Amino acid sequence: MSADFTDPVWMYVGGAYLLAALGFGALGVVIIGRLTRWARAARMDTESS
Amino acid sequence: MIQAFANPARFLSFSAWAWPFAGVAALILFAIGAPWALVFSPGDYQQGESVRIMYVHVPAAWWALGIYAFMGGASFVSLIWRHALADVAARAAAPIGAFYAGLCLVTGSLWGAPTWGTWWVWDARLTSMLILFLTYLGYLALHAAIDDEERAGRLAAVLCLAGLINLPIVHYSVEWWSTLHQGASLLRDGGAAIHPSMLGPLLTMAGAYAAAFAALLLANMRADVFRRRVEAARLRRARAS
Amino acid sequence: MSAILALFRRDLALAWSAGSGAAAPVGFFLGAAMLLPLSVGAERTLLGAIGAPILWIAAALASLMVLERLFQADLEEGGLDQMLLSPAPLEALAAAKAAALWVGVGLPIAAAAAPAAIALQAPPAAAGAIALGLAIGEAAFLFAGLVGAAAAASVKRAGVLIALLVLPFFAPPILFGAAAAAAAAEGAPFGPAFLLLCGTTLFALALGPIAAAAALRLQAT
Repeated sequence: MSADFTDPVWMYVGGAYLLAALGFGALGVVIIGRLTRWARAARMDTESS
Repeated sequence: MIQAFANPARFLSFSAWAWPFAGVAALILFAIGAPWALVFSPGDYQQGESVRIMYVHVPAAWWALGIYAFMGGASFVSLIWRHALADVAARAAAPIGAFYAGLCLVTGSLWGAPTWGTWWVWDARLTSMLILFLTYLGYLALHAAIDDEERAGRLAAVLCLAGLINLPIVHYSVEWWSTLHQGASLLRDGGAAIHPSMLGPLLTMAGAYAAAFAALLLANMRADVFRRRVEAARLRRARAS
Repeated sequence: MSAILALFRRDLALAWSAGSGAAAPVGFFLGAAMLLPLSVGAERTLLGAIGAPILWIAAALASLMVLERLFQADLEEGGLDQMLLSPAPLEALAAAKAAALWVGVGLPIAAAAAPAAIALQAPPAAAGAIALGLAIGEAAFLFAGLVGAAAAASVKRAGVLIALLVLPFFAPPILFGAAAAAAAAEGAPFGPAFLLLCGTTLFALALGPIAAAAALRLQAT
């Protein structure tokens, strides 16, 4: 037995998974973006000095 | 153990491979766990399809608490041994913990709406998770409000430890409070008896959340270590010129 | 000991002096309580059910108002350095400041709660029990609030920040306090909720000054 997609409760299930995916994605983009920015700044600092 | 991580340079070389490693582990676990939980696992005989929300909700609740405990430990180390990296770790963990707590609240509401017929009930678990979320926000706000970074970290550490004492008090307070009011017993969701067929996807998702936390934490800590270096170098140059 | 008493007297005098007088928080408390019948209507049975718990919310908000300046003035004017140099332990001095605030502001609010409760349709016989509960609860609010006030002492315009830091600590006393007030309004003044309220207050009395002193030491360095 596995998923029964005819159940109207899938609105809520899908919503929960979608929000989780969007949240993880957004948090990952923000943190990795921050990391690349500061890693590049640190590299440029050591090269220039 | 603590001394091994004391050195920021050693942390940078360790985390350089550790954070992508944890990130790949998280992606693999999500790739296995999410389809397993969403499609291939059986529906519950009582809750039906809505039980699938549990697989994104319960790990968020576990790790929201776990991350706060981690921050409490890091705050303790930061206060006692004045360990700079412990402060970086606590600060880097806070936004991830806030996200897990918020995700737990939202998915819990999405589960409650079709199951209980209401988006929110004031029982002990929901209330303490809401308080935990507010505590995370307060920690972040205090850290952001104080300019001197070292002082901000250690004052936030005091607040974090005070919150660590407050959380169980809130939890048991609401439990006693609802027994005073009587009749919160209809809200026994999930319960102790989890069917073995649900344990596989649940533990896989819990592992995925843990690996995602490790990857995001290490990446966020690396960003902070780099930022402090750049800012210290800028300060030195400004003084020299 | 004399240093602790002197600080207590000084802070009490400050709380009752003009400008930062107890009249402002008490007035705020009464004003916030007055908004309730204006917002839900003057239906007497409804007010009787929710009036006493609403007084607790108003009291919690009024205590937040006074926390902002608690340590800021000391930090700016050097009072904190004197507290650190004093032979008395910093924990005791922080407790003395909170105790002065309790006597200067907390007790007047609790006293004002008795007529306010009657105006909000609680039975007059219960007004004394409601005020007594609030007097005990104000101690929990102020001693737990010490932590947030001490942690944010160096922040300019910290009012909203302190509210965010402190409100999670207000949850246990307000749970039991409002439950005890509701029980009192129904004619059962000193039930288990009242004893649990006393328990949470003792917790705040014991731990609040310790955490506040830890934060104050960090403010000075």
